[in-house]
Amino acid sequence: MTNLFTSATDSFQSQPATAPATGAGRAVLQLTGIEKVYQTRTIETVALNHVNLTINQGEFVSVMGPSGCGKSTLLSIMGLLDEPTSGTLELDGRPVQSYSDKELARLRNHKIGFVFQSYHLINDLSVLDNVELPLLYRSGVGGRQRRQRAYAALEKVGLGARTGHFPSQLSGGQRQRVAIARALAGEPEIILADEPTGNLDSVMGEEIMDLLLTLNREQGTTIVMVTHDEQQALKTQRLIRFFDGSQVS
Amino acid sequence: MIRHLFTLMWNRRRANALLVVEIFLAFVVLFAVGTIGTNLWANYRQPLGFDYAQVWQLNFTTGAQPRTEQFGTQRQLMAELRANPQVAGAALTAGNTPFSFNDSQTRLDFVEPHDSTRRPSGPINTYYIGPELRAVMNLELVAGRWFGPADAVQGAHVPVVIDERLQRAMYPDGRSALNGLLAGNNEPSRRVIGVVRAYRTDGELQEPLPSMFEAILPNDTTFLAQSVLLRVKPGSGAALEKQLTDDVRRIGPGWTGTIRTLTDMHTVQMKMRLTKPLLLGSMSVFLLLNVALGLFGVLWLNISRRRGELGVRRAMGATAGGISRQVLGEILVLTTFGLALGLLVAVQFPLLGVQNVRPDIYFTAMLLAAGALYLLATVCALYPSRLAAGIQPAVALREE
Amino acid sequence: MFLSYLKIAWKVLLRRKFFTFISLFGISFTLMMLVVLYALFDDAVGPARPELRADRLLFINRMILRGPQSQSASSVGYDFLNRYVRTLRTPEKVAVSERGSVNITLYVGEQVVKVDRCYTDGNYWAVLDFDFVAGRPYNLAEVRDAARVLVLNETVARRSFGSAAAAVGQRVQLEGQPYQVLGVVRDVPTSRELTYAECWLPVTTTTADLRDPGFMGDYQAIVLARRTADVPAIQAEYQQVLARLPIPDPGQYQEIKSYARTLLAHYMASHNNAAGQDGDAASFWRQWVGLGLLFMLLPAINLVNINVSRTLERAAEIGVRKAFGATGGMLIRQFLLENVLLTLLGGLLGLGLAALVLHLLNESHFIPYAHLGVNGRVFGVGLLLALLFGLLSGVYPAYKMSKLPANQALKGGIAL
Repeated sequence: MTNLFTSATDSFQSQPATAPATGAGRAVLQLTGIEKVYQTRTIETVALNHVNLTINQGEFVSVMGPSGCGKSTLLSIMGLLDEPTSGTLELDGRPVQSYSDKELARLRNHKIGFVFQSYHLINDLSVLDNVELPLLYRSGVGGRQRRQRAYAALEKVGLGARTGHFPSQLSGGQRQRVAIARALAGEPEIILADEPTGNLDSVMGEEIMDLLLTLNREQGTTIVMVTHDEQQALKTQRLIRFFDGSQVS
Repeated sequence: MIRHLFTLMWNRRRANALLVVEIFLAFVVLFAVGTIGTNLWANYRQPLGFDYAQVWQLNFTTGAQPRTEQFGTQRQLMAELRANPQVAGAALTAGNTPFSFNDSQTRLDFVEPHDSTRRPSGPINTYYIGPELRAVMNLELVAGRWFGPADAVQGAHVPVVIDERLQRAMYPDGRSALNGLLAGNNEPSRRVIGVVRAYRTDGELQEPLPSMFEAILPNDTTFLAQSVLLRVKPGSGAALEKQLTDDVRRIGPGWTGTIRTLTDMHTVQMKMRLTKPLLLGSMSVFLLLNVALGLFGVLWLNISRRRGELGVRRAMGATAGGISRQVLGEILVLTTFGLALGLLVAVQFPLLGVQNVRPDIYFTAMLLAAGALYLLATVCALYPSRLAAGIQPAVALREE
Repeated sequence: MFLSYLKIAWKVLLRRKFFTFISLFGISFTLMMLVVLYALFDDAVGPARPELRADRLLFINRMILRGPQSQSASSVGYDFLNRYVRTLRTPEKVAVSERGSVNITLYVGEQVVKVDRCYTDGNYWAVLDFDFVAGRPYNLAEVRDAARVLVLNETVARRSFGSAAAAVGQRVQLEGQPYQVLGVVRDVPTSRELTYAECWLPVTTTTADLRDPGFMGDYQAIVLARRTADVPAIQAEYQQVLARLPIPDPGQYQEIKSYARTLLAHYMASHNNAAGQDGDAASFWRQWVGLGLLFMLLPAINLVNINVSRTLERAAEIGVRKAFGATGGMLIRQFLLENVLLTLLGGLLGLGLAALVLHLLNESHFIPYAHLGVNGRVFGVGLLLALLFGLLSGVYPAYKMSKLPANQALKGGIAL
């Protein structure tokens, strides 16, 4: 295996696999008084109501709650895809409000990896090209290097032999593994996964879950995962429950 | 990134095939119109060689008068015309006058002075004209001399004045054609005595042909010129016209004369020559508008279909500007594909020399067409690309 | 069923206004262009006054003498036509007129009027169908006696005398002689190249020598056949006559070439000395039909493109239809109908636009005396083109649509 992960990860090799729910480790994401209100012409919908949350480095946190409780909004805000109506979000100890679109894009590119329920692979690009995507938006990474890193990420998810395929030629589980490889290729500190097993049958879902757990355990990647599956949630270090825009546990 | 766009567009080639075909056809149309337009423009920019603002053309018919008497009547008529105080000058000419749509072409051989080898010429516009023509039409002499009294004496060679184009055709190396020889079949050869700038009677828009003048000598009784070019004083109008046509009838038994101003003839000719290009031009403008609307529509639809993909790209670290550039880049890549096909076709024209058009005109037309297409594509993609940049990734990624 | 198809089609068109607009724009402007072009073509060579009986008319207006070294081409001599064309046995009537018009000056009192003049014989008015607004044509006796009479067109008559009726009987000065206005005809557009003029005079009043035996001259013969079927016989008879003729100046020339051509053939030959009797119609049609198809291809592809994009956009709807048991054939019918409806709509719009453009062209006097219009022939051609266009641009997207698998269509359904 190539030395894929940088020194930032190495420093957490010593972290105990079962870190306490809060406290230990550096705070990667710090949400304080986050509120999100969707305004339409007639009604106001409160998606998030004063959420305070800290995600520490190396943690594997799962978020549960009924549909429409604001889980996805929370993930979008954590992923810098959406702005909170009020409250502060600190990434690596730095507040990200008032960042320009360019700076936010850079942060997403360097620090965050996304995995979606419906994979969101680009059908017209080969598996390898898909995985290269985050590196494409990173300046200073040459074509050769991109290719190497994408290969390495695919090896990691066990798809080193499928690089030339197109997403439509893969099964659902394989597609999700490509999506995870894509998230890994950029070597992010945090992976945000929005119901990554939601479209998969239980066997495939299990495989994906194992992959994520391995990543967290062996690479120390911080993972925040939204899920509907209680079994999976219980395998993670911390479980946060949401109801109607508020954290209930 | 460019590589990435090419890969993406290549992988989407089936979905985009029709778009590429459309761009290809648009290129072909633009190329055709560009060639015609460039050709007309190139012709238009060549010097016309004469000035027609105050020039009238008088045509006369000789009725049933016996041929032998016609020459005397003609001399009398010319004398009266010149005596008219409103007429500044009058020159006899064969029917191929400016803007008349008449032409008279000859093919002659260029004779190399040192070894007397002969080289056939293309068609040469040949003008039989009275020596007064230079003054009437304000021809610009650039070398040698114009016809003079000495030329009335028959020599071994017929003296001719040629234009610069014929000089270049005779001596492509840029030598002077003065005293050069032009030989024909069964007729005395011509010797060049002077070179004028040009005399493009076919008009500004027609591809210029090399021209050659031969003087109608006073004692010539083989050819009766039936047209007169008149330079009239400013302010001349219907009264002079009536007077002149009355003169023709009075002097010649059974003769009639008709007068047209060169300005009128010029307008008529311009209209004739421009009708087809204008028709073609307006048709192609409409075609391009059509293509533009279609391109715009397809791009717009594509954006709403690709919200997910564009959302992912945002999540992976693309900026809003990056997305906008990508959409623009994609259409430019497609345009390049269509263009490449079009150029393959277009390049056949100069290679095979299908039409009688200079290669540099083809290449200019290709450049113009390619530039116009890129511009068109850019304009069409502007709004869709802004639309794409405005996609909220959080919203786009949640839709399914 | 059909009605409900129609209703759905209408609703779809209304729902996507922008794309309906793009499609309509493309269709209507393409058809407008084609209809305008056809109207221009029809204006020049279609059966219309004065060549109302175009199918029975033949024109002899070009004489080519060809030798190994040189070639001369020109209109035909009056004497030649009198001797060899008037004597043809097959035609019903032969008229002789000046080939092309000459601009002359009329003096109406103090007023100077520039007109395009044409010398004709007396048969001219019987062979062609001029529309007399006032007065009458000159007859055979008047032509024989070289009577100083003339016929004006409506515009000149009105400009000179105020109205057509007022012009009849008035005197004008022409080439120093007084002429009397006998009749006024409706304007002939300049696009009617062979019969256009503004002022018609008996050929005998010319000062030119009509007895000049040269084959070449300034005249043409207009031959009226008894029946359309006689046209080839007349053409053959004329060729036989030519074959028996001695060749003038045999030292220089070896061949006489001249044809009795139909209006269409004359138009297509367009002074090309090499063109044959039919004016090389085949190559003309090849060129223009090819160009026309190319011209239609671009908007058609455009439409196909948009249609395909819309198809994919409507994938969900197709999925639902399929899920509820619609067959591929039904879907194809539905979408074809939608498209044909769209093109017919565009066709009507295009015809309206064409009428407008033709009206503007008439008003602009770009073609003097043009009375271009959307007549029945033009309308029919336009509608036919619209249908062709609809099918051309609808078949492929409809096929693609119907082939979309139901499950994929449902899943791929796109929000918005």
